[in-house]
Amino acid sequence: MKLPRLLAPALFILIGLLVLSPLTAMIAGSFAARSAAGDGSTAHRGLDLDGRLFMPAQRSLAIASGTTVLSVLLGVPSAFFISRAHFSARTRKLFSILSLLPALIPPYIHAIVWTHVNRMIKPLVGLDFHNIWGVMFILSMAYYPFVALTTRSGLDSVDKNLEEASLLCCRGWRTIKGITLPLALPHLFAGAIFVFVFSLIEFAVPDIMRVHVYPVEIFIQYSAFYDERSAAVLSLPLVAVSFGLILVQKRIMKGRSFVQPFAGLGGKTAAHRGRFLSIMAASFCFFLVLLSVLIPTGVLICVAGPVSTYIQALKSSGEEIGYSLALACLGSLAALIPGFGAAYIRERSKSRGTALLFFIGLLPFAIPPVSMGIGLIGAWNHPFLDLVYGSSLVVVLGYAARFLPFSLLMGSAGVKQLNPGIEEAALLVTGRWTHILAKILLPLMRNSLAAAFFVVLILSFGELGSTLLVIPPGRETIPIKIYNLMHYGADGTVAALCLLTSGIILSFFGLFLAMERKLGKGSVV
Amino acid sequence: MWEKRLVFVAALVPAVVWGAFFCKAEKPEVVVYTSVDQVFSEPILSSFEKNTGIQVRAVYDVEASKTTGLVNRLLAERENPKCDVFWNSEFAQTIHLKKTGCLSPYRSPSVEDIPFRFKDAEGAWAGFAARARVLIYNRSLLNPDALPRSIFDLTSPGWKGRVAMAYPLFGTTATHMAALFSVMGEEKAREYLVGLKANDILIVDGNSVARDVVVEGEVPLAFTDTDDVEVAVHSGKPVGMVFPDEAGLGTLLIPNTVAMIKGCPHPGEARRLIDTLLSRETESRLSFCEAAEIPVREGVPRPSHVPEISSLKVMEVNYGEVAENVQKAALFCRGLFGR
Repeated sequence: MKLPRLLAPALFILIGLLVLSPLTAMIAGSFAARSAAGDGSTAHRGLDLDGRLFMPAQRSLAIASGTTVLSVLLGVPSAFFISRAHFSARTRKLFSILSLLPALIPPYIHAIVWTHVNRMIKPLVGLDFHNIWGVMFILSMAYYPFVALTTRSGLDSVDKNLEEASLLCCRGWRTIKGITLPLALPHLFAGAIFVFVFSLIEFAVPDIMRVHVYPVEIFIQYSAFYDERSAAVLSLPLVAVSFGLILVQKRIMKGRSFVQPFAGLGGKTAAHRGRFLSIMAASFCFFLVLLSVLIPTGVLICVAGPVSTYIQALKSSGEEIGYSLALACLGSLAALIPGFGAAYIRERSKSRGTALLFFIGLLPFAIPPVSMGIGLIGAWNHPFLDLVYGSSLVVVLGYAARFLPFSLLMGSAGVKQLNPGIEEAALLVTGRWTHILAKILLPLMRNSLAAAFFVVLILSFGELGSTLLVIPPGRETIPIKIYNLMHYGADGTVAALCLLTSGIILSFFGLFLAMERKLGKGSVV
Repeated sequence: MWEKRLVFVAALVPAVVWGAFFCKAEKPEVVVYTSVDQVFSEPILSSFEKNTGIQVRAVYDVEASKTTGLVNRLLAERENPKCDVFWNSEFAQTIHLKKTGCLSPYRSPSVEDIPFRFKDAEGAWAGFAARARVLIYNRSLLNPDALPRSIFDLTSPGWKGRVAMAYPLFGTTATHMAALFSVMGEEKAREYLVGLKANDILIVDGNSVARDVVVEGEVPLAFTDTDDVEVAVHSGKPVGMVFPDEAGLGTLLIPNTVAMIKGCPHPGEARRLIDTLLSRETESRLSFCEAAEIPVREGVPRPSHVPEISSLKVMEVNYGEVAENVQKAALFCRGLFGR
């Protein structure tokens, strides 16, 4: 298919600026550090590739695998039940919103909540969360909504006519197995890969639960030895594993068609009727909401205490909440444009150039946040770029760079479900790409766009590692504030802030839904 | 029409958000990076702002980055510094910055009465308001007569599995280990740490967590800093602290340090802020706040629960030498305590 001539070069420049410039600066910086060290007396002192790294690496892989399996086991049924079970519209909406709530609570807060719960139940039943299983459970509670969200995005884009036709002649399970799940598989994989990579690079939760994992070794190179080069070397396996996963995903999808002529246009879902299924669906969704939302919220409410704590928290942190939200929105928009653009040209033009662009866009997947922060400083901290580095723009660029892969993968899954024939036909009629973009591509991809926007928004809102390195002086994001208060032991204020920020994001989400409904374009959740 | 509106909204929203949140008027200013807890440092910086009319733009570190986030940032910004003053909650990283050429010498008039061992001979940094490395204990679980007098008691069988410590690769715990390497000699320090490991010491994520596990009664005793204990005491938790080794090595004091960044954009304002931070008033304020930091000068007004420095048996260390030992000790501890 013929694409606008300037689209690919423009995306190369954009993604190059976002991803390659900090990456190049990081690599150049690490070699400069090596030359500065000269005899190697300070650099690489921490790196000794002995068997000691094997155990943390093994633990990290086990945690990532376990968390992914558990998140899929929880997220996929949750998405399916919410999307397909015979619920009333109100119940469906309620479960939809409740199932997203855990993602609004940062993983370290989940860890703190379950530490409180652990303290209460350990003397009674002897159950201890301070181990690898506890970490898997806590991370799954925080991350299963990403699988649920992406899977739902896929389910909502499936052509309902196919499912309904199948339901006329086959049992529900055969329809699910033969039609629904295979068609939603790209989205499910995208969600599963997110969870795997998140869990693989996560170290705050394992650290709180006293489990030593591989990312701590990378962090040690920076923090204990100031050794950028060894940190970069230790990051390589994470990059390799992430790329391996993308290749696996590509291989699984090979030869299958996910193009649906009426993707995204169906208003109603193909409901699987049956009293037993409805009861089972409702029980499952309620149990999941209880574990991942009601218990954490209840614990946070208990810890926060009286209303005055919330008022005080809002008074002292209102500006930081607004600032973080604004940055996260801008970062999300900035990630969405190159991400979906690159995904689109990758799907429509199978050239090597677009493949290269796609893989460059995926690079930040496994770059540790601290490395990204240092790369951003190297790339943007120049006297002639003060407008960028001296302002909050560098934080926005950091969010866009860090979370570009998520936008890219979700964009790719969304574009796979578009029929290129529609675009080709429209091109013959109008000849203008802006028309095709506004009238066909954006409306048909609105579910994927909305899902990607919120995933990146939520991730940006909780980002700490690279923000800390590039935040402009005099500014503070809410995760930085929360971490500071945690150290100070202000548990009540921390709990109140977590509840308030979750509430604000939720209201923001509600506002978006209301706007979407008003425009009469259906619903994302 | 539809797409024109879309383009208009897409352009307008970021512009409005940008204008509302990110545009600030120009004023004389000073940029400070500080790893001191925000609750303690912010009031002091606000007072400076109020008294001088110089706007203070601060970047605070968090414990999640083990207080090294800002050091990494300063190292990365070396070619085009944005920071004027680095106010560090400890000394080893400041000395590391001096070694890497990030600091500019400045002899503030305020350092005149600061004891020699708390300031750099070349004027690259100066120390004030110290925390001490202490043992926190749970008063419900330990009687005063059961308390250890020395950190060396903790390798005895009676303390097996009953002591916690932060991961000794970061923060003040790493500095404490380096100080042991410095004063005891490498071999004896290693022996001691192996003894702690053999006695099943509980390694946790940070000093505040070490404090929390004692508060919750998971273990009765832990290594931590005075400010962590004071915060718990202030919020009514049943804990107390021991200044260990009063008859031996003494207690390690970890002073705040302040330094001017080489090539900083606002050197004049930076000097004024450094003068203020190193003043007796600031030391006094830091001793009266919840951190209860110990003034390094005699006769600085302080609350009764904060000891006079002369009343303590202070560990005799050369801070430069301790900083030299940080990486050596960290390498050893990583091998020993790698969980």
